[in-house]
Amino acid sequence: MGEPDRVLALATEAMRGGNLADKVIFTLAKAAGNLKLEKQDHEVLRQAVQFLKEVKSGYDWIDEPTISPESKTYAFSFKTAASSWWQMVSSPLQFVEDINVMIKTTEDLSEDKPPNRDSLRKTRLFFDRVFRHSIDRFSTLTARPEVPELRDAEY
Amino acid sequence: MPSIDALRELKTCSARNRCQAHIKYLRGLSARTQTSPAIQHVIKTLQFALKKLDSNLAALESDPVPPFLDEDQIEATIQFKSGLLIRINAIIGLIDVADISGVPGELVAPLRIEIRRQFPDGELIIVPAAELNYSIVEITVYLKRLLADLTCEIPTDLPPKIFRVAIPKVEFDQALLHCILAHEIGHPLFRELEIEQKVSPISVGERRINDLYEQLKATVEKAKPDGTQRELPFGEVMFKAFVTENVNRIIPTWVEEIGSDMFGFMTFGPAYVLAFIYFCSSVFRLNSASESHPPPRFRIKTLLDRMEVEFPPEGLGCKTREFLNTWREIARREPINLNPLQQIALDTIQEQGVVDRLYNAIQQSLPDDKRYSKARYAEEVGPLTELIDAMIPPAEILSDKGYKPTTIPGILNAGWECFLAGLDKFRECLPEGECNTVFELNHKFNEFLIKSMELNQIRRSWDSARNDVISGKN
Repeated sequence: MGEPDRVLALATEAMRGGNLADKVIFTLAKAAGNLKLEKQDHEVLRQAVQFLKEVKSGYDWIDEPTISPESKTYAFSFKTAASSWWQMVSSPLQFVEDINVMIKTTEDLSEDKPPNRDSLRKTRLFFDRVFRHSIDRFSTLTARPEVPELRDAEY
Repeated sequence: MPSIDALRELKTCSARNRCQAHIKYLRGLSARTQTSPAIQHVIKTLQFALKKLDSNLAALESDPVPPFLDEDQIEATIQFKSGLLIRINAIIGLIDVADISGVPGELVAPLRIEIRRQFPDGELIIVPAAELNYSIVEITVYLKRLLADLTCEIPTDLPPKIFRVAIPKVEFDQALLHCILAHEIGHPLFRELEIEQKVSPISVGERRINDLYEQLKATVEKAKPDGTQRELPFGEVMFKAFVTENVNRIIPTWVEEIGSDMFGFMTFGPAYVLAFIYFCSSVFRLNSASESHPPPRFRIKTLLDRMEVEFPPEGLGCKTREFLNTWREIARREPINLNPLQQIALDTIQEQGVVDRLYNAIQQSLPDDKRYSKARYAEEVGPLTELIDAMIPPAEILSDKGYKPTTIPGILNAGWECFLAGLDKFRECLPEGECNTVFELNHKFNEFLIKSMELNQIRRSWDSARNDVISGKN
């Protein structure tokens, strides 16, 4: 892969997490405001659950390290989540607990069950941080000279 | 609320202005004479995307602010949408210098034939690279993702694959080095034929990862102010994610590079290996690995190992054999001075037999007619080198049924044989005083090969037109 391809690929990848987070924030805000969730909100919540499960798989990867196209996705989701949330936790255990809580919250919402308010607040904050992290990552990647990893040879 | 409205208006308004500037720029770009019709498709698609982005921004400007979003969230949402403009700008940058004044016409048509040999519906855009490097980008992938993020339909007339190939502009005339393009074409083939899936899973080994984890941790841990206990300068979670993400990025990226080398070798034969050695040895250290590329020493070794099996030495010219033997010795040594992540990638690839897995997967996936075989090499390289020695462009070859066009890999394989043999006979055909130095001779020779590729393409186009007339096509 050449440098232009890598820049575009990484920037597009950075947008992936942000794109989802953008929609999830909106849906969770509606839920927090006790507004009715529409069909597309449920689809967004389904994608949020999938992302959070990928984060967990990425977290567990190190215990059975095997490379595959799926493991790349898990690793990317885990890195995105960790970069966004590591300052909010004091230990790896708390990180996993938080992710489990968020999975439960989004699953409850997608089944129209009323979520725990504290858990909902935490989940909103998490996706908000994912969203901002994605924007920052995108900006860093597109400011190419500052990113050493993008200055590699491309033969 | 008024400050939110003002901020929203300012942000969307400035982003929309910049959209208009891009639309205007693309209009000017469209008016230039281009080397490929594909450029017009890219421009049209980008104009379409820009109009959609502009209307999305207009909606953000005028729609009521959702009461549950605060100012910071509103700003982030607009920022995220207007970020698409940066991606559009990056795609414009890819095609900006592809007009006819910057790219030699004699290269375009032969290389388009090579792309079409692997991707029959592929379009090619060649651009001059300021760097001493070759690269390829499948622009359609990014256009489609862009349109998906804008929730737009893909235009029905957009060609399925548009490749943008960058060639070092100071070396446009270096035909022999252009074999590196076989590796570049290997990248989209690697993805199209799903080679990564076919060689997965690749086990890294728990112990190896744990060792790496501890090793890196020891490197980055910092002492507490009292010097008694050490801690990470960031969270343990972040560190774990760093290791997980890096290992999952470096190994697949290296596997794709090695796979693309295999494609280069299987589609161009020895010419790719020889060009790769020449290309690397001039500007890269043999042990210099990066996040995106394994060390050239390892890549050369894997290629030479495969060469030995597929193109046994007895089928090659004497000087080519000597050259390869020297490099076999050099490449035999293990790469050194790799960082822990690079070392784990190399060890995993070697211990898990990834190179053989790649070769088998590619062999099973790449149809015979897209490969450059030992049989073809044996059939055409001998006669073509004779033509070159007599300074007759090796664009055609005599068969039982008369002259037929050769192939680009055929011309380049014969070219490498002659080049490594010293070009003595070729030099004898030149007027006296024409080439006073080896460099002038090499330059003349490469120009001759470019001309041969052009003649070969003309011959092919002629045949194609004749066949169309015979079959009643317009």
